[in-house]
Amino acid sequence: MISKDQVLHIANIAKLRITDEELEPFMEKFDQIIEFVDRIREVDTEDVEPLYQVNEDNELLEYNETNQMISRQEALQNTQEQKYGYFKILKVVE
Amino acid sequence: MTYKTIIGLEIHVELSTKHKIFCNCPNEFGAEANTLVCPTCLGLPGSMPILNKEVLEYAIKAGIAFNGKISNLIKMDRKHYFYSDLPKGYQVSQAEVPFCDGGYLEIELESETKKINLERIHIEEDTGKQIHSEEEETLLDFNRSGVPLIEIVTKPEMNSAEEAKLFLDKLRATLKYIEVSNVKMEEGSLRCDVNINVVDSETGKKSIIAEIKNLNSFRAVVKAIEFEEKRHIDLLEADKNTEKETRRWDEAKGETILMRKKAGASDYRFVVEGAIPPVRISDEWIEEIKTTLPELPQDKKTRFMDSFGLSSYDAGVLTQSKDLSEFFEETLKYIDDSKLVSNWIMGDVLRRLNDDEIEIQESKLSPKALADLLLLVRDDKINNNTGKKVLKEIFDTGNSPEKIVKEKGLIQISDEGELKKIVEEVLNNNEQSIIDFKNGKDRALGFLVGQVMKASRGKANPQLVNKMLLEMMEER
Ligand SMILES: [Zn+2]
Repeated sequence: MISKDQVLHIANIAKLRITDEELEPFMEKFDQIIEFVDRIREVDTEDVEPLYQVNEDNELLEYNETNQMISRQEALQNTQEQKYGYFKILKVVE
Repeated sequence: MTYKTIIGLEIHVELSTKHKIFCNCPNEFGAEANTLVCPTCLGLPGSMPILNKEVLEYAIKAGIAFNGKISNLIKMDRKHYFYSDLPKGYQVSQAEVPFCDGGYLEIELESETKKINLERIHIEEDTGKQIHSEEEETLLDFNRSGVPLIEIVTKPEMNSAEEAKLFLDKLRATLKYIEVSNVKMEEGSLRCDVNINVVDSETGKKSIIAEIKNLNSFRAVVKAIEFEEKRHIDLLEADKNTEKETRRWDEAKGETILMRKKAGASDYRFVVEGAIPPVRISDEWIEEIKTTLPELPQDKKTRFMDSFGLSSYDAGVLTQSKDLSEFFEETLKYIDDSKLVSNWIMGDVLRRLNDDEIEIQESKLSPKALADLLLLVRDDKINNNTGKKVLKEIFDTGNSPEKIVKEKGLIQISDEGELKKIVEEVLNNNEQSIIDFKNGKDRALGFLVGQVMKASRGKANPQLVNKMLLEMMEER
C-alpha cells in the first residue's frame, strides 16, 4: 500500500494541491495504477537488449534547417507581465 | 587529529556550437533578452525538438579528449522539476546512458602526476537565465534556454582546494585546445559545483557530503572548499553531522549558506524523452571525429619533454594553455635554445602575466621580441638583470628590445679598458673588503662586484667584473 506521505510527497514535487477529501480516493487509485504497471515485471527480459523507440535510426540525425525563430514581441505575447523585454514573475528566492 | 578532504566536481560546460541543441536558434552570448528564441526552446506546447548533430560532434570531441569511452547509443531522458527558468517542467538530459563513460585527466602536483578519474560525461540542455531585481521581481530571458551543455562528473578523488584548482585549469585548457567551448566562468559557459566532505583518518568517520553551488570563479571554488573543509571538521569534532545538503557560496560574506536538503534522484522522475529518437553512433564516426582533434595538452607535454628536454613540471606548465605553448614554440623559431626560453617564460614572463591577470596573447610581448631579448642576453650584450628590466619595459611599452637597450644605454660594458677605472675606484674606496677577502671571506668579493655593478648603473658584465676584481686585488 502506498502511504499518505508518499502521495503527498509526489503531489508536492508535481506541484499539485490535494485536499484532505481527495487524499483517500487518490491513494486507492494510485495503488491500482501501480499494481497494473507492475505486471510488466512479469515479462522475462533476461538477455533482451533495451529498445527505447521503434524507429531507432541515426539517419534521423540531420542538420535541422527549419528556423522557427520568433520575435521578442511574439515570444512575450502570452505572458501576463513583462519588463524590459523579459518575462516578469514574482521574485524567486533560493 | 588528522582529516582527509574528499572532493568531487560537477562541471557544466556550454558547447560553442552555432545553434542550440534542439532547434535552429543561434547559440550566442550577450544578445538582447528573448531575441534568440523559438517555440521549441520556449517550451511551447506542440513544438518538436530535433537533436543537433554538431552538438554530438562537440560532445564526442570532449569525451575523447578526456579519455572516456564513447557510447554507441545516444539517448535522451527527461528530468522533471519545476523551476521558473525551465519552461517545459523538465530538462532534457541523459540519465541512464551517458554518451561518455569514465575518462580521466592528469594534474601536475609538485612531486607527482595525479590521475583524476571521471565518473561520466553527459549531454543536456541549458535553462533560461533569471535576473533578480531589487523590486521583488524576477526577470526571465530564454536566449540561453536550449544551449547545449555537457556535464562532467568526476570521481571524488581530489583532496585539496589546490588539486581542484589544478583540475579545473587542466579541464579548461583542454576544452580550449579542442575549441568546443568558450569556457568563460564570468559568462557562465563554465560552471562548477563542488561535492565535499572530510574523513577522520584515524577513526574513518566521515562528514556528510555537501554540494556547493553558485561558484562564479576558480577563486571562489578554492575559497569555498577551504571554508567547507573547516566547517566539516568542526561538525565532526562536535559530533553534529547533518543531512546531505545543498549550499550556496556567498562571495560577499565569504561563506557557504544552506539552500535546501538535497532532492533524491527518484524525485526527478526520469523517463525516456520520447520526442527524440535514440541515435546509434558508429565506431567509424567516432574515429573520424578523433582525427579532427588537434594535439592535446597531454601529448604536447610529452613531445615538449622529448624534443626540448624539458622537465615534466615545466612541460606541464608550458602546455597548460594552447596560446602559451604556441608562444613558446614560436619563440624557438628565432632562438634555438629551449632551456633558456623555457626558463624565462616560466619565470619572469608568467609572473608578469599573473600580476597583470592577462593571457600571453593579451600582453605586448611577442615571440620575436622575447627571442631578440634573449639573444642579447645570450650574446652578453646585456646582462641577466638588465634583461629583466628590458622585459618589463617591453610589457609596459611594446617597444623592441633593441630600441629599449639603445635608448636607455643599457648595452653591457664588456670592455676591460672601460671598466678598469670603475673597478679601481671601487677598490680604492673599499680597502677593508680587500683585507677581508684576503683573509678568506668570500662574501667580500660579492660585495665588491655589487659595488662595481652599482657604479656602472647595472651595465657591467658581472663575469668580467668578477675576473678583473680577482686579478686587480692580486696585484695589490
Ligand atoms: Zn529555439
